[in-house]
Amino acid sequence: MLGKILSKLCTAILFFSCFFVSAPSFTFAQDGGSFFGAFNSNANFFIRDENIGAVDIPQYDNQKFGADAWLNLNYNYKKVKVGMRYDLFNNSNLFDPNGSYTDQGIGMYFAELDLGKLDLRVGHIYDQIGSGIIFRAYELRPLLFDNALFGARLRYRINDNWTIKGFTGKQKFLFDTFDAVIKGGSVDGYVQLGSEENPINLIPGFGVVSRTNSDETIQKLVSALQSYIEPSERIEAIAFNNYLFSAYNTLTYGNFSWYAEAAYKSPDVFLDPFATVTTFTGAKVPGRYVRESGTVLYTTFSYAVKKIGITIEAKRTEHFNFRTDQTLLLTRGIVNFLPPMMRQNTYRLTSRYSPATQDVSEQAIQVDLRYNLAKKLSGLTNFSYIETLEGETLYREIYSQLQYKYNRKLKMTAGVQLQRYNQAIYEGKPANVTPDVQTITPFMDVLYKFTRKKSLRVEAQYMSTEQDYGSWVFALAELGLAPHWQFEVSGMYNVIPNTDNPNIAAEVRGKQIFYPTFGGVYSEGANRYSLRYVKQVEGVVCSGGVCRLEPAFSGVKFEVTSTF
Amino acid sequence: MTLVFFFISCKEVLVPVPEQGETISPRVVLLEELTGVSCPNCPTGTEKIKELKNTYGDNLVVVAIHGDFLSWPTPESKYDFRFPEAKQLENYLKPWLGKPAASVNRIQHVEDELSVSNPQLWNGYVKDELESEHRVNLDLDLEYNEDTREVSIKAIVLPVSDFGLEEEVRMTVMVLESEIEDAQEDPTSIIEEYTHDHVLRDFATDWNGKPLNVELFDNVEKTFTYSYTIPMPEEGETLWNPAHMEIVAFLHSNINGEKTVFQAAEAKIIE
Repeated sequence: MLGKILSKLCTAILFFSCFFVSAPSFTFAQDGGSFFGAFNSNANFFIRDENIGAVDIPQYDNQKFGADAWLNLNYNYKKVKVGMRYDLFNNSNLFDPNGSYTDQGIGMYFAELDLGKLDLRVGHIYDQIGSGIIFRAYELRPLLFDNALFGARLRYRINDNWTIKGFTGKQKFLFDTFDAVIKGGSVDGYVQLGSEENPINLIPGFGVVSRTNSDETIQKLVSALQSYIEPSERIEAIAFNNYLFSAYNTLTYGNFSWYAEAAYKSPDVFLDPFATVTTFTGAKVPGRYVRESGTVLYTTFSYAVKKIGITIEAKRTEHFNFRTDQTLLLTRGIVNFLPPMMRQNTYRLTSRYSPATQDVSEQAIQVDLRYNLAKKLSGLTNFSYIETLEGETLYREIYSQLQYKYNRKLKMTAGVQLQRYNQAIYEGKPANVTPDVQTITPFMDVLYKFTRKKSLRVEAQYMSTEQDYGSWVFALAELGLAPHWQFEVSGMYNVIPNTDNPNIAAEVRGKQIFYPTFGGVYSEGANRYSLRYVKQVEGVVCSGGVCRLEPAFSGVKFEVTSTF
Repeated sequence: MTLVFFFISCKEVLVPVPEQGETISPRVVLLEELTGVSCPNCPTGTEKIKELKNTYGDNLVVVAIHGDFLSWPTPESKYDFRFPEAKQLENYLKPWLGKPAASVNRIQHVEDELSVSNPQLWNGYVKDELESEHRVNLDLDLEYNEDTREVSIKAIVLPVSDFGLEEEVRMTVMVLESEIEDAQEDPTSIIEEYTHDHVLRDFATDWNGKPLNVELFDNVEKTFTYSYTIPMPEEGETLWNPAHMEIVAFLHSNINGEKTVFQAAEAKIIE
């Protein structure tokens, strides 16, 4: 392991030294290139609390402390860009919220050259095709998800309007890569139609991606498929390769904008959690590898005039599971990105139930309406609805808020959210004893600026529900003392607990528990330090449409972010 | 151009999936299932294990560990299968992504999982273990005293290769119980009368085994003895029924984080 880290460190140092040596001097001036970066670190002190279920992971039992840190360093000199990121995880609960992960090393490095019409990048690549439906390499730190492609990418500018790119590599996994080879490419353009006064702009594109399985994955799949005894469930042969295609276009005309994308996946073996498999006893149990082709249709339409703006989004997904290795589960090995179809809520209680994107069977629509009712009064209303292709409701949300700016000192926001959330599907709980969670959540947010430097923000939310944990109340006060300090205190209380939810451990079920948080933030220039005492209830945490179930947290969190 | 290459090269020779063949091996593989009565997906794992037991017969020893995660009793449960050592073992078999999960001979087949959470893969890992190097034979000879409820356990070890002291070989002896009727969540509901088999109930050694503290030599038989007294069931309970109980023993390593199981054996307390 140490050898591996040293080898990567040497490679990264070599990258940097090459370019620093060739630069006349290491300065921030234009001639000497530019050096910039960012640092982010979280330190968690775990305090065991059996009342909320913050127990039984190594951090609570004996490790007591965990930390994650990322240091990004980038250097640009003329036509060359190089960069690296040092990652550190010490008894971290980020990778597996129920476990402990320790490792460190060079998590990412790259070199990029601009050779006129051609630019090339080697190392770790973050990129996407279209909206990411067939390929997206990106990083979600809150979930320790980083599926960068480790390989090479060429991009050629055919002319001012058209670009073609191709890439190949293996998907990054922590400090290693998965074995499968991913390759693909796209052609992206720009076309202007109509008159100069009323132009119609088109941004079309076409992409293709392919995965070649490793021998090991094929062997694992063969072993899994061998046990299927029912003729209708058997798969007689499997392929090493699969292919995905996508055509997409953005059309803008005046205040209209319309994006549309259609994607197709060639027949591929993947694990369908809802398909049943027949065992030798004749029992049918869920979870079977199937061989199906897949499709995604996705569109967004937006229109805005002076006082009103509307965005309509729709998506249909069928059998579009695409992983670098089909034997992986949860967030492991995902190659593509299916856009989430609900509002990205930010308040504590309105964001408590977030639906994860379904890749086997989903159709959804979302409408977002923003309007100015008067000079000081504006509002927004959002509606989203998600169901399976068979018509089972997965998620429904109506969210509406009004914002009133009384004067420069006082701003008020108030609204209500109505949700229906299929907890059985999203969290894998037994359907007959897990009714859909239905919530009504009114909320308000008041910001008062005493002076230019002193402000107070107060939030209050109430979630009324009979399901899951029952009803909650949440309140927060945040005092801002610009430019350096900010203090906050908040609390969440299970005001009417659900006493007979079998999905909650008996030790915690039906208890009225107060979850306080308090702390402060100090900012100085580009550096920000925060220290918080946190008690947090178990819940689903989503980042960029990817979600996972997080256990309760009890402890102290210290965070540093810095850019330079 | 890229697109043209894709289309040109997309014809390939498919890999056939043969029917499951018979595997003949002297090895007896240990499969430790991490399960729980409040785990709706766990019956899927249990069905998979029944299938594996049907395929591999005496070559496979199964233990169902109700440790902690999703193992709390349902409102319909009569019993609580959890106990502190089972929880310690569940933590010892980390990392895993979720339940059901199973460790096959405690070998890390997947980079980030010692216990594999995809039941579809267990068949391949059991087969791999049956085809890997066989180093030792293990047999159990039990004697049960009905009056004292004491089980005398003789574990007979016959190596087919040498084991040095530096390998720190350990023996773990587990006490299991089957045919327990109690509640279990499944993907749709709570089944009130679900049959729980191979439930880990206790240990006759420490949960992480007892060091043998001797060298083992090729073809030189050694016998190790242990004993266990079966508790009396509490009033109204049908647990701790010797007729439904079995002893599982296995030899494993415990050096530098190595947890590999070399060989397992099982025997019913009352044949």
